[in-house]
Amino acid sequence: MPNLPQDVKRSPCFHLKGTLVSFTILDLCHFDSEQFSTQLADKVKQAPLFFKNAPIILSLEREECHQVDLLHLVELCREYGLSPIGIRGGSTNQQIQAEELSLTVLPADQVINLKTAASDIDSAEKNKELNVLEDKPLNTRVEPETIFLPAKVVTTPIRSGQKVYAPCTDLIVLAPVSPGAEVLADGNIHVYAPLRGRALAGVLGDENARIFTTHMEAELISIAGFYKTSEDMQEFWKKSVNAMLENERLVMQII
Amino acid sequence: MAKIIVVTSGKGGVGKTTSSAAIGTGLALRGHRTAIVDFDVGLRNLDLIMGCERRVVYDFVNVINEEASLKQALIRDKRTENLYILPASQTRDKDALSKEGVERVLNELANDGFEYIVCDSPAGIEHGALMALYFADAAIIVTNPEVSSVRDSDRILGILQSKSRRAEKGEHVDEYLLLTRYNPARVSRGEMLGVEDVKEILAVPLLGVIPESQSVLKASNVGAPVILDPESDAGSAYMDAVSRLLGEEKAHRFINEEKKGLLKRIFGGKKHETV
Repeated sequence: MPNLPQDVKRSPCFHLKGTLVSFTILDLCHFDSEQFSTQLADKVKQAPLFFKNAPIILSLEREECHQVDLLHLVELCREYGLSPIGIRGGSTNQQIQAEELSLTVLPADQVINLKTAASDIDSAEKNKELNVLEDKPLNTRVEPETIFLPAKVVTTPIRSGQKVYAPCTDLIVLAPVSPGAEVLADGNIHVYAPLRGRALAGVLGDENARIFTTHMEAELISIAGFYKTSEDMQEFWKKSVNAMLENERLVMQII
Repeated sequence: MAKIIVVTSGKGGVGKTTSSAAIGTGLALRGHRTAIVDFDVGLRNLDLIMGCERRVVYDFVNVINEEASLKQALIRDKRTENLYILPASQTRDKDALSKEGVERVLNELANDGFEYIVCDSPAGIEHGALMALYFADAAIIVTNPEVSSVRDSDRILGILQSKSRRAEKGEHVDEYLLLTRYNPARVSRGEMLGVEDVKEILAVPLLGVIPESQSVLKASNVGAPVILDPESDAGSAYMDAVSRLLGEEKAHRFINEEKKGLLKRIFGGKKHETV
């Protein structure tokens, strides 16, 4: 074992962090090797940089796709520079094949509600075989599909002992958060009323998360695990505040 | 349709039973057929405050266990027409209250033509308190003007809006704040929280402010709800609260310190404060 300084040895080797990554879903409608290649080549030509090593999930949820040879499909994708990382749905055979290819197998219904409205509109266009992206003029940038969940909005007071969590999104509270109550979000937290309890934003580790409130009277605020207690916020007390992380330090601004 | 009102607080000793007795009696005085149910199984007090402790034969738990009929257990108040008391058992504990049993008794009261059922909750946030608030249509949150009482009231409000039957059905339980043992002089000296402070923290409409008063202690000891003493400050404050509960507009009294005149200062002016 290499000689590491004592304090490095004592610290953990790694941290597990949850995060949201946007990736593209290739929603296969039916499969014909030649037609697929032509369409994919055409897509890649529109935005070569975007597709270069782009992580992609192959959606095989449709019945018509259950007989498709996964190996062949993956090879075709790689040929055009895409990097398939997993499949969604598919037949048992396809799932076994995916495991052999070291691809992740996602259950069909887990990701479906993360699809963007754009891809829903796309899938309505039934005469297209591939509906990952809409046809766009050559000179426009192609945006990746972002995973979007609407913010959680709470309009009633959050009382002592209550806990409200907004997973994968922002939390917006339009009523007081009482002392002894806890509000948590993977994203930002907005409280447009007195914030007197605890507020924890970016609980999965998003260091860009922020906390906003019109009346800062919190017992504790935390962003991605960096926290401050009420003792340390006297100059912001009862003020309208924007709290964020700056170089792993929680800082507050009056807004 | 009977309206079920729970009188609750989280914290003990803030005046739940006194308030249940006063408000139940007030509703009956206003001509509404009212039952006050004591949920404080094991520590029954309501019968003492109502002055009917010597007439208790059967109790709430007997009715739940079908050892007695509701008619046998209900005590008719001798002073006030339209008023009935369902006493708690002294020898059992709060686990004797089953959700099905409580529901059956409350339904039976409603079918019996009661317009208001006032549930006197035990302190705490355990089973007894949960049973008292579960079926409520409205809640009177009794709070003293001090921080721990306010905190506990906040907690019970959270439970009310998440664990009651109405909450489970996605409906709202009406909330009213009743501030008891209020002493304006101590508030202005900064020894007590003011009405506005409590209202701001709890964000619940104010049903009434009951002044700290010797008349409350006196009423408890003689077994007559304080509302029957209309001369007393606490009694008239409760009467105002009942009017507001019935939807009437009444200006709040007893919030500000009384300015004593010269004569009052000399002669004391403590008419209602002697026990």
